[in-house]
Amino acid sequence: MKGGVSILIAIIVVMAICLGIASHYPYLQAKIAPMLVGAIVLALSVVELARELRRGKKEALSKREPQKAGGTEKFRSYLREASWLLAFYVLIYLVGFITAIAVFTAAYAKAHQTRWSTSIALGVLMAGLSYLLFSYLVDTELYPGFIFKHLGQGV
Amino acid sequence: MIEAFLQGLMYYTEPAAIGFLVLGVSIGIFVGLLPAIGGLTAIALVLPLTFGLNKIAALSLLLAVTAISSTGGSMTSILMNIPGESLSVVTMIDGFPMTRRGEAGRAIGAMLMSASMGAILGVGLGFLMIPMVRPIVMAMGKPELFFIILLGLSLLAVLSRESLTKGLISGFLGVFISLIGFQESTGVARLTFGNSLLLGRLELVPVAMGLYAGAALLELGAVGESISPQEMSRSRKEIRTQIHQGMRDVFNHLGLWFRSCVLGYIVGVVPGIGGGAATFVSYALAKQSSKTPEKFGTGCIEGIIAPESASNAKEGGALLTTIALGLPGSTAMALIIGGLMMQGVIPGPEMLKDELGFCFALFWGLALANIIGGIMCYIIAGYFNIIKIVSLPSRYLVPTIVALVYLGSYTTNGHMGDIIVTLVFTGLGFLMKRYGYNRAALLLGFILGGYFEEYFWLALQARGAFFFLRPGCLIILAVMIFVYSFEPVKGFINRRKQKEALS
Repeated sequence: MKGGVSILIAIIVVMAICLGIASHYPYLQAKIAPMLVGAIVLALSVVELARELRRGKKEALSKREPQKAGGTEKFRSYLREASWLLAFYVLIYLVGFITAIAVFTAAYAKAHQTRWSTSIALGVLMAGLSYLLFSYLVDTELYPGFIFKHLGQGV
Repeated sequence: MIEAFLQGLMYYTEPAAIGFLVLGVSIGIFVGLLPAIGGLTAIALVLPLTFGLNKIAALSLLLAVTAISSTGGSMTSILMNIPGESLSVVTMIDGFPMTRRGEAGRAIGAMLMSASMGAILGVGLGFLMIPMVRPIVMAMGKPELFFIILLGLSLLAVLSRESLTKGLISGFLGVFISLIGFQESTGVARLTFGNSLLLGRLELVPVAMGLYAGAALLELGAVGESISPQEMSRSRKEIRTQIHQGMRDVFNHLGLWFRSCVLGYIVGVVPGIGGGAATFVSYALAKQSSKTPEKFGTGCIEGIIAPESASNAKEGGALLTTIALGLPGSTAMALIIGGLMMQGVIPGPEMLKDELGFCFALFWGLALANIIGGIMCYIIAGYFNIIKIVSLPSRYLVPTIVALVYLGSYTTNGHMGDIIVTLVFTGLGFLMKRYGYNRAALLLGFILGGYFEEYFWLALQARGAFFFLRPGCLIILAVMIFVYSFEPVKGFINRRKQKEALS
C-alpha cells in the first residue's frame, strides 16, 4: 500500500508540474493535448489516491499486514540485477557494443558460478554472433564506444 | 472479375515467383527473430534488390517479407518476452507466461495457426471488398477517426485486471508520454526539460522492450532460474504434440478468431490507425467477451489467438486500401507503394481498372506467403527445437537477452539514448507490475497518442467544438458507452441473480 501511495503522489506531482509547463506554450495546438490528457491523468490519480488511502485505513483498523519474510533479500537481488543492467550500459558507452557484449556476458556468467572457460566461450560467442547478425548481415553501424571513438579505431 | 481472380493465381504457376516468395519468407522470419529490426527494416533492405526483377517477382519478395516478419517476431515474444516486431508486443502478455508454465509449444502452435488463417481470411475479405471499399474509406472524416482512437482508448478499461482507474491512468499516461518531444507543426519542444534526448519522440520498441523484456529480465536474474525448466526434458515429439494442441485451440475458439480477424481487417482498411492498435483492441475485446477474463495476462490461449489473427488479417485490409486508393494503410504499405512505383505501377483506382489481374495476384502472393511462412515456422519450432532455448539456465539467458534487448533498442534509431529509454521503462515496467498498473494499457496509449492528438486537432479545426455531433461519431460514442457499461451492468445483473437465488 505504502509504495502504491508513493507512486500516485509522484504521478500527481509530475503531472501538476507538466500542466504548469504546458500552459505556457505559445500556441493552442501545442498545449491543448498535453493539458487535456495531463488533467485526465491528474484527476484519475487523485481519485485512485483517495481510494488507496481509504483502503489503507480499513486495513490498519482490521489488522497490520505481516512483513513478508525474505523481502529485503529479494529487494537486494533486484537491485543487484539492476546494477548489472546499468553497468552494461556504461560498458557499451565506454568500449562499444562488441567488446562490451563479450566482457559483460563472460563476467555475468562467471559471477553466477559458471566455469572460466565456459564464461569466456559464451562471451566470445555472443560478441561474434552480434557482430555477424547486426554489423555484417544487417549492416547496422554499432556504437564503437567513447574510448575507441577517440582513439579513432572503432571495434 | 472471376477471370481476373484466376489470372492473378496464374502468376504463381511460375517457379521464379514462388522462389521469390520463399526467399522473402526466409528473410522475414530471420529479421522478425531479431529484436526491433522489424518488417520495415527488412523491406527497406530488400527494396533495392527488386530493381532488376519483373514486377511479380519484386512484389512477391516485398509482400512476403511484410507478411512474415511479424510471425518471426511473435516467436521471440512468446519464448523470451522480446518483441521482434512492434506488432508482436501484445503476444508477449500471455505468450511468455505460457512459456514459463511449460506450454511454449502450445503457444507457438496457436500463434502460427491463428496468424496464417488470419492472413488468409484477411486476403479473402480483401478479394470480396474490392468493389465496396472506396465509399467506406471516403466516408471516414477526421472526427470519426478521432472517435475510433478514443474507442481504442476506452477499451483500456477492459484491459485492466485490477482496477478500472489504474487501467485508465496507465492508458492516458501512455498518451501523455507519446506527446513528449518536438512538435513539428508548431516548432514547440514539449516537456523535454531542455534534454536533447527527448527532442525526437520516443520510439515504441525501446519503450516496449523496457516495459516487458527489461522488467522480466530483472525478475529472471533475481530468481535465478531458467524461463521454463520443463522444456529441457521434452522431446521433439512432445513439442510437436504441444504445437498441434495449440493449433487445435484455434479451432476451439473459431468465433474469437473470426471476430479478431474482421477487426484487424477493418483497422487495416482505414489508413492512419496502425496495426499495433488492431492487436491491442482485439485483445481487449477478447478479454471482454471471455468467460474467464481474469485469466488474461496469466498465460491464456485466447490472449494469443486474438492479437495474432488481427495482426495478420490487417495486412489484407491495408493492401486493399493501398491498391484501391493509393493510400498506404501502414508504413510497410507505403514502402510497398514505393516498390510498385519502381516497377512503373501507380496504385489507385486506375490500377484497379487497368490491372485487376495483377491486383488479385498481390492478394494471392500475400496468402501464399503466409501459408509458406506458417509451414517454415512450424518446421523451425517442431523439428529444429528452437523452444529448448527457454530451458537454458538464467546465467546464460540473462546476458544473452540483455545484449539482444540493448542491440534492439539501439538499432531503432542508431542512438545510445534509446538504451537509456529502455532502462527507464524497465524501472517503470517493474513498478507498474508490482503495484498492479496495466503495462499493456500504457503501450496502447503510447501507440495511439500521436493519432489522438492529430485527429483531435484536425477535427476541432474543421468542424468546431461540436464535431462529435456527426452521425458517425455518435454511433462510435454509443459503442463506447456500451463498452464502459458492459461490466458494471453484467455485475449488477449477476448480483441481483445471486440475491434472488438466496432469497
